[in-house]
Amino acid sequence: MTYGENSARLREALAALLRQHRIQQRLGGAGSHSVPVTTSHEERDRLGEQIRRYRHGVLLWCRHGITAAGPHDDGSGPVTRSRGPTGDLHLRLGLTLGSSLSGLPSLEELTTAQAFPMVDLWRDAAGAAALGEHDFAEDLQLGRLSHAERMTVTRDVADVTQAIVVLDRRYARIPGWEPLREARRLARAAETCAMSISDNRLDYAVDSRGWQRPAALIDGAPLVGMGGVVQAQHNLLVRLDRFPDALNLRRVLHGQRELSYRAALRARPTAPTIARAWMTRADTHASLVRASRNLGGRIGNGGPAAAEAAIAVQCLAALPPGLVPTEEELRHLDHLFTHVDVRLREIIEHGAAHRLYFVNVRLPRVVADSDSLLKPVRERYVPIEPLHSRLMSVAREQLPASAPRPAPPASASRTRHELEDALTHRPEQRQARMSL
Amino acid sequence: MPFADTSTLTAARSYIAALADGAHTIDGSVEYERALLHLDALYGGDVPALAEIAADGPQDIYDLAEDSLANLVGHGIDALQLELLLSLLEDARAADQP
Repeated sequence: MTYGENSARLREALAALLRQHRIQQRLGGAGSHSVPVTTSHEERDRLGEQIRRYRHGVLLWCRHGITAAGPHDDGSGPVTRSRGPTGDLHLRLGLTLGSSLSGLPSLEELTTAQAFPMVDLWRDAAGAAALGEHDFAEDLQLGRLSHAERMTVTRDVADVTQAIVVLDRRYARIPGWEPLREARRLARAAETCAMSISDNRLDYAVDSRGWQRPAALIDGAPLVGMGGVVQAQHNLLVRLDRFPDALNLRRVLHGQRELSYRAALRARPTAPTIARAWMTRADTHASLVRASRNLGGRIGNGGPAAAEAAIAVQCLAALPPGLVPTEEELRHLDHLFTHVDVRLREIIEHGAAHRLYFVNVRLPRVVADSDSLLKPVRERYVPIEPLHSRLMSVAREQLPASAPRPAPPASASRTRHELEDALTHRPEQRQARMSL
Repeated sequence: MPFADTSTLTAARSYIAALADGAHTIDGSVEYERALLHLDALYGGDVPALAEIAADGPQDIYDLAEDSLANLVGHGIDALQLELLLSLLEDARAADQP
């Protein structure tokens, strides 16, 4: 699940909790003469403990989020204005978590439906927070976010923290309730942080980032027509997960050149723009093929990738003459071309950086045991020189560094506005009337 | 790899690469590159660097490529592999018709 899915689920649960009042009644306690009391003081105490464990999970998500949106200082110094709103919130969250006596909820607590809807909403929030931690360990690690994405994550964390503090105050009468340490300071830090980030600095494209399910091979019988080409190209992308040796890298580059060229010829009648882009891609791969003729390197296993590249070419060549690909097939293939190119660039850069690929160059050297006056020119393999290698320069200049990000989902702004409205106590009905 | 093998293989690779670079059509260039990859695969990818060759006409380069391939017999490839390589070279020339 992506950051957007997890954080939206978290916000929806918290917005629903913020709309709930008469907390004792919602836990089966007294509060209304028409509703009977169904839980004892001790039972409500235990429910309070469980809610605090869920809350701890959400606070931990906040801490991970604000850390990913860093850098911040280590928090060892005094709280000063120079720390800034984000650094202050980072510090306050750390202090709150450090002083909390609640542990994290168990797996059973996260996965078992709860009898009271309010507790179940907390379970939903804690479940989203637990899943969301995977996002911060993967694609949203510290240093991987753009400035606008960092601002968006920071704003989300600030809103969620404010919601937690509001609920903490509201739950004060639950038996045995342990309030947050220095809740007022935490609330002020979150509020200042949220106010310091204006809406026009946000980038909801961050919602599409986070943990992604690894792509799997398309098994089974080979598909017919263009489907077979797309299948083989997809499998090539999956196979490129393993680092290929130099010879198989050359085979893949050669296959991609031929595939782009032949696919461009097929697409030309109906999609001239895509055809031009693919012809340019064929030229790029031709340059890469030429630049890699002297490439060496035995480490890796690119046999399966080279086979998939060859299958894609064969599938395309086997199509009946005159068969024009559909718009959807062209889009899929174009998408795969981009991702394969990004991966090939990563492979070439990795091979050069770790000295797994070598270029064979002619270097004259003295042969001590040669009787002849003419010293023959011997061959030597030398590691790729990143700044001088033709292969490196073509890869860096002509292959994309990253694939374009998808547009943010339509729900990205909805869940954020709902939480903001819940924080400012604006009921949904009133909103509807106001909009009229 | 012995020096005699290296110099013979360098010549064969360089002529085929020159044919790929000077091809009239993309189809021809693709097929010459395929022949070069096939030759390199016979040596497991452990191949010497390309050498610069004197600029001759395409037919001369093609003849020199055939001769240098024939010289490789006994230098790491056998007669069957040679015939397969020559067949690939011929296919490439057929595809390289403007």
